[in-house]
Amino acid sequence: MDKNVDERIVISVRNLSKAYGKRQILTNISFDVYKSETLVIIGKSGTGKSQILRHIIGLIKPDKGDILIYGKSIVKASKKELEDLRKKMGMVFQENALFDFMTVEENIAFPLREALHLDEEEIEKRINMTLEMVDLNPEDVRKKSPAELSGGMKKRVAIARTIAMEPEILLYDEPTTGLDPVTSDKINTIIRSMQTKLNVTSIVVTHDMKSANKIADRIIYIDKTSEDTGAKIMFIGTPETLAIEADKNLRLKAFIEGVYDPEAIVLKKKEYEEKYSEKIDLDVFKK
Amino acid sequence: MENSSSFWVRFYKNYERLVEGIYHIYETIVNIPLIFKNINITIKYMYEIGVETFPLVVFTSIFVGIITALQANYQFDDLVPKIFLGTAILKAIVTELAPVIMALVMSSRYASATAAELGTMAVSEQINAMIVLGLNPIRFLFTPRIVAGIIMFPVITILSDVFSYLGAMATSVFFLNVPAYIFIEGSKKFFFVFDVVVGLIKAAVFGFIVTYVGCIFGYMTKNGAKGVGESTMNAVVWADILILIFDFIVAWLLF
Repeated sequence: MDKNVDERIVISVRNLSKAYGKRQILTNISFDVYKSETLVIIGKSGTGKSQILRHIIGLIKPDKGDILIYGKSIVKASKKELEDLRKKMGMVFQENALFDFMTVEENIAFPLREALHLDEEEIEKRINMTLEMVDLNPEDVRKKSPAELSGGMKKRVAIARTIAMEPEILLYDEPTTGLDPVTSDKINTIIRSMQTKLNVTSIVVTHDMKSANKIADRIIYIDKTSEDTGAKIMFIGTPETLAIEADKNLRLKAFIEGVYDPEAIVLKKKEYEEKYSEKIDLDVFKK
Repeated sequence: MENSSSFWVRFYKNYERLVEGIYHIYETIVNIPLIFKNINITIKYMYEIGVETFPLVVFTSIFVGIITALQANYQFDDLVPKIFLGTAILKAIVTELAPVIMALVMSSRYASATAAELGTMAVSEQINAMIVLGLNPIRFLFTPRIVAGIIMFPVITILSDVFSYLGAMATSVFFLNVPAYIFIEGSKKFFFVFDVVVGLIKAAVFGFIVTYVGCIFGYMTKNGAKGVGESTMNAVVWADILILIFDFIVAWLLF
């Protein structure tokens, strides 16, 4: 591999496989994430997208394969090395995972104080700065408990708490799930701005295509070919090439268009043909 | 591969949760010196265990005293002089009844609450969030509770000793026609400070069991609301079983 490209790789997932009991979740997942890019992993619910993030941050150990963060294996890391690697990473959980026994400011301050051992002045500065970065008014939300916030605000506090740690890598697990379209768009804008303002490398797991198209530099599509086999990578590329690939892969096309039955797309094309009496080469929709 | 793995590797695979559960005891103890950095967390739990439970402790203890007095009187059945009523009751309360009954009551109240709280944190990924943010969940969730338990259970037990004794004395005076001075005189006979010490050692052990079992079942919760329910139930059941087992072990070692 070209040395320059090699140096740009921040995360390298190598032949990752995982099974729970007899149920295979992931099979031979391999991809690289480059510095400062936003990689979006798309796929249906239950295909193991979130599991990939959990492997990357070392919450789960893979059955086979390896994950390298800046060239260091997180799978084989000792407890101390794991802690050091995690300091470079931040994760925004699907359910936000805000500590509900603390206020918003305590949520942000707690890890800064206990894990990074910052002084109170710096903590204060970071609370205000990060809340402003996610477009929240610090004075309004600081003293509130997470239960008093709306879904979108909780998500933004969760992002603020993560970026306050100043990670180099940000992992988002379904950041727009359960939010209305306008709030989703707001979150997408924030995710995009994190990349430009903080120059972070991001991996976003989502099944929201609108969000994927807005934030992705590159997209990975994972899917299961049958129930017994684990999810595999079906596509890696830019959003533009995704559209081209989708014309060749019926299941991908169905996912992107949000159609339950891939065959329905074929029927839709037939209707189109009849309506406009044009011939469309159907073979391109079948892989 | 399977054949070449050692006994311990296979043991770990089969009893992963048990091994993990026992391993966290070690981690909990290692983190004890760090509680002074966030002593307010430990104090909060000490307050929860020792102060907020006060009405429950008083109520339960008075009834333990009343029932013990009635039961002892029935069993003495005019064959044993009434002066020994105080002797028997005080010994029973101090060495066995107060620590064990308080521990069982606290297991229903505190082990269940802890398992439900930590269980909810586990299923809503708050515990994973702590790990990812570089916060050791054992240090912040387990150790303060366990230290609070070990300190406050003996305190509760002393309170329980006092109120049980008063309950028993009141019963003897008003229902069993044993004057207070005879009851007290009987209590002084054969009273050893060692009995109180045994009761307090038991209480400290039970304090550890109730808080740790609550924490560990909560921490290892999986599968949403149903999982939280199961953890809560298992925490109370296992805390109760371990209380009785360790009651035997401590008594066997010390008497």
